[in-house]
Amino acid sequence: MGDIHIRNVRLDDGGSSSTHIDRQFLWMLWEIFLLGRWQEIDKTVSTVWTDPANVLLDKGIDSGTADLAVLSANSHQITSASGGFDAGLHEGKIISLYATDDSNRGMYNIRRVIDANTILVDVRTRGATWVDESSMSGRIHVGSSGAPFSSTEYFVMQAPAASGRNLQVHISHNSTTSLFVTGYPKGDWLTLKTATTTETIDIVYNGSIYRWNAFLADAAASEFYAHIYAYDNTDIWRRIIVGELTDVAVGDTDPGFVHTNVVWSSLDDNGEHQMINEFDVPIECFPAFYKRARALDEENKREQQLAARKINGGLAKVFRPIVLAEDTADGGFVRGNVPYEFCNYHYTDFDEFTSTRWKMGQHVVVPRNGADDITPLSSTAA
Amino acid sequence: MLHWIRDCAVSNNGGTGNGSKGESNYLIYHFLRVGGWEQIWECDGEDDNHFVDGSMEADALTAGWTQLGGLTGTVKTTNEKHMGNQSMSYQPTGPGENLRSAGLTTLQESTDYQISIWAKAEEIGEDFDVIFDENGVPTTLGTVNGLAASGWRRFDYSFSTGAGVVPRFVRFDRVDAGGPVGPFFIDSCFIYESWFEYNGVDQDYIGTTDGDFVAPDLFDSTAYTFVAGDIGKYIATWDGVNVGNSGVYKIIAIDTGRAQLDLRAGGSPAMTPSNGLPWRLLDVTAAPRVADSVPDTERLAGYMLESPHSESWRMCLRNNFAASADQTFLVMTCCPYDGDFDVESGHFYDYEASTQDVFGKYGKGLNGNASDTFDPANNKGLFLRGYGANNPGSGSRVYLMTDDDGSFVNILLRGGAAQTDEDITSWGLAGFTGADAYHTLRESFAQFGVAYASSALDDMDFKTSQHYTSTPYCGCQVGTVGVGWMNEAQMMVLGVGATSVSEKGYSNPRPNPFDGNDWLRRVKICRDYTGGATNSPSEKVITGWGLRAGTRKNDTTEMFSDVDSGEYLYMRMGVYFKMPGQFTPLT
Repeated sequence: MGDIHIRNVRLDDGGSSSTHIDRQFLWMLWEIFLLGRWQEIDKTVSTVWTDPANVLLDKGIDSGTADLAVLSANSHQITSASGGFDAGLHEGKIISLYATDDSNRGMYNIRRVIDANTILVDVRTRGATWVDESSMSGRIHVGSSGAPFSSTEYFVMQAPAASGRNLQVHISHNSTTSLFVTGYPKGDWLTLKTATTTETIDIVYNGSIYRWNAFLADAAASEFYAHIYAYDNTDIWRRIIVGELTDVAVGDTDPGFVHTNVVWSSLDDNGEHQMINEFDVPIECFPAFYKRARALDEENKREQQLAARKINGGLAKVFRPIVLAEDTADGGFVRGNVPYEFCNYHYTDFDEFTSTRWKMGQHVVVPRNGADDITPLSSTAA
Repeated sequence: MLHWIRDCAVSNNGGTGNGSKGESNYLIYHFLRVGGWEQIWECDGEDDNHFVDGSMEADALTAGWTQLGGLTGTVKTTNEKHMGNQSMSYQPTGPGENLRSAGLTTLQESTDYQISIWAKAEEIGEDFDVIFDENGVPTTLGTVNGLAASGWRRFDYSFSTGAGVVPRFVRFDRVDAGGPVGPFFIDSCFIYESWFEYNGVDQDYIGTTDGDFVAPDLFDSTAYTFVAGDIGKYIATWDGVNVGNSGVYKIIAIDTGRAQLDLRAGGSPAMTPSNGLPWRLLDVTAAPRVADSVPDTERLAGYMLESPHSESWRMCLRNNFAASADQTFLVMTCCPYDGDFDVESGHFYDYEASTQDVFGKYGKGLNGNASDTFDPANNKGLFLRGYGANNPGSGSRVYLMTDDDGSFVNILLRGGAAQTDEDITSWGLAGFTGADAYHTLRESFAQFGVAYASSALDDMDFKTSQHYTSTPYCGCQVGTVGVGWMNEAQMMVLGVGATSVSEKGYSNPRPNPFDGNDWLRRVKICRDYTGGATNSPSEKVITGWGLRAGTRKNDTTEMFSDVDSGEYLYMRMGVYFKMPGQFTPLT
């Protein structure tokens, strides 16, 4: 088992209709969580999930033969003995590869259809060579842009079974320009539905192209989270992070959170992580930043100090902030640490960062998928 | 293992506006002494330590010394030195070829003094006497004898002045012991009226195994029998085995020749029975006072101690006063190793790393007078300020933490008896915060205090925008060796939100509800926060000091309260001190 990475997957749903983009988000998020081995707990009963206008070719998921194969000697090539690849239908579309080997498992754009049995994936979505593997299932799709959702669809995913974690996330359509994201840290969507406050993620509807990226931690990871971040053609990154705090107190059995943002997080801006407290009441928790022990209005926080960029003899600073519960009667305490990483503000975006991470905006770094990983693209061009 | 002075209460000894800083400092001194710290310097409050050119740093010999009896060839030399840049080379060849100091300055009449001489005398058979010459009447204090390969040695003597304003000198008189002619090197000469080492020490069993703790609250001595007149005095003792036994304790009664101690704890406290302890019996009424009506010789007294730690770091803790009601404070200056200092002032030399690199040197008030107002241009350094003299007569409660080998000292003076007083804490701390992958042991050395005094503000108050009045904000740390010496350093707290909210300002702080604990964490410090001139920013946590940051409790009703089953004591503003868990703190 290992982490699942998705890099620069482009989806152009071909329309400028305001009825499409939010649903592209819903379908793609669902697919990404499945690739990350999250468990589908519930979703709207709808033919949209499998409509052939959306799923252009099914290889063993709901139909067809699970015979997709890759070889390390043939980089970027995927084959199928039973065939079915079509250049006119599939080039530029997405293939989700449900590999057993986590380094193969992921989502890629189809660059070329060589013949009915062979495709090449876009190198911008796959940097490394394959690990030899066969009999894989998968599907070629266009999200829900072929047959869109109506307006009420949702899905509920739970952390991978192997993680033993209860955390569930409910994502639903809200409007043409937003989705709702709600956490169920106790994993009781089917019963008591103990929910966090709902986050609303805004998405652009007058642009129709996104590039999708994601990191979904291995089920056994002690720092467990799923981070999905997509770039649109209005120069905005939109992101969802779902996970559990680390270093929590004994007895804090469900430290799950959901967080969304449409900018890269400054540590003091839009940092709320929606959780529940000991009474199962929603509370907001915030990644904290260190500052000098001075007046409370000290805003010149340490993580924006140029001097703190490389501290301790030139070490690039990466950290997981302490999380403080909101300053209310239900909060007021240190709860744990964020599972994903932050860095000092003063690094160039998208540069390789300590060789194992990409620096995104503000304080955000994301894991790099090995030495061959491609830079996250801030472009939706084909 | 940690050692404490745990809530030792001391009253002030009078003097207008006395905030008990002097009395507290006196107890601190003797506790560290029984803990193995070495006295390497003391001063009373008079200038120049009574010698002219006792440090031997003046190039011209005649600035402070006169050759007598045909003596020639005495020079200042850089070839040999104890501290500073040079020493004095004294090479008599015949009888009467003696050296005499310039007139000793500002000695008081009818007063006892101590004199320290550092000498390197390595020729067997070549000696000189140290003479106190008062108005032409000599008194031999002792003899510096030649000893092969002995290096620099310290010679300590005492003398008493008589009545009247008369000339007083120190002489070095050649003694012909039949040996070869060879130079004596003399350096670091200082004279002081001792307010610490030789003052008020009624019984001295330092470095011995004389003392015993007898449960629950008795202290016994093999050699000494306590008497009724010892009630009200203090015992300073050190127990290297039993946690919580070391400390300074007031004697409240006598029990068949044994001292009954005030354990300053709730419930039924008991010491762990223990044998073979070093100790001192202290008459704190003799301690120097820091107050308005007290002369400088007393209220500006201080000392330098050297830690038993492997780095032999040095701490100078000197009383200070500036006119106005609240200006009684201690100035703490440290060097992370056994750095050289000027015995005439107690200032570390500029070529050494010290607190002075960032916060300047100990000084007196406006116009150089303690009787004048506080002057930031002169009154420099890092202070324990906090509780001033707002409540004359109410004394101090002394807290101190250190460890077995003196790697750090954490001092808190809690003023008054009412815990609701705003200006209640004087807080200063220094030492090695712990080597790690990015900091050598020496680079881990840090010190915190306050660097400014305008009125009696609580050193532990993080709220003020006057940052130099807050101990956590005001500090220094050894920088990257070769890049700079001591750099500015601060403790850090957690901040949340775009503007001003922080954990320190939380209006609803509470323990973690899932386990009931106060989510204590080690204090994180940063050096060179803005990447200043030395450009050696770093971060680390303080380890080994028993110091924690955490929930900010109610600073009116919960100060000095038990936390985590007595393991920690909540001090103030989210700061916690580790405590010996067997004692319930008094509120």
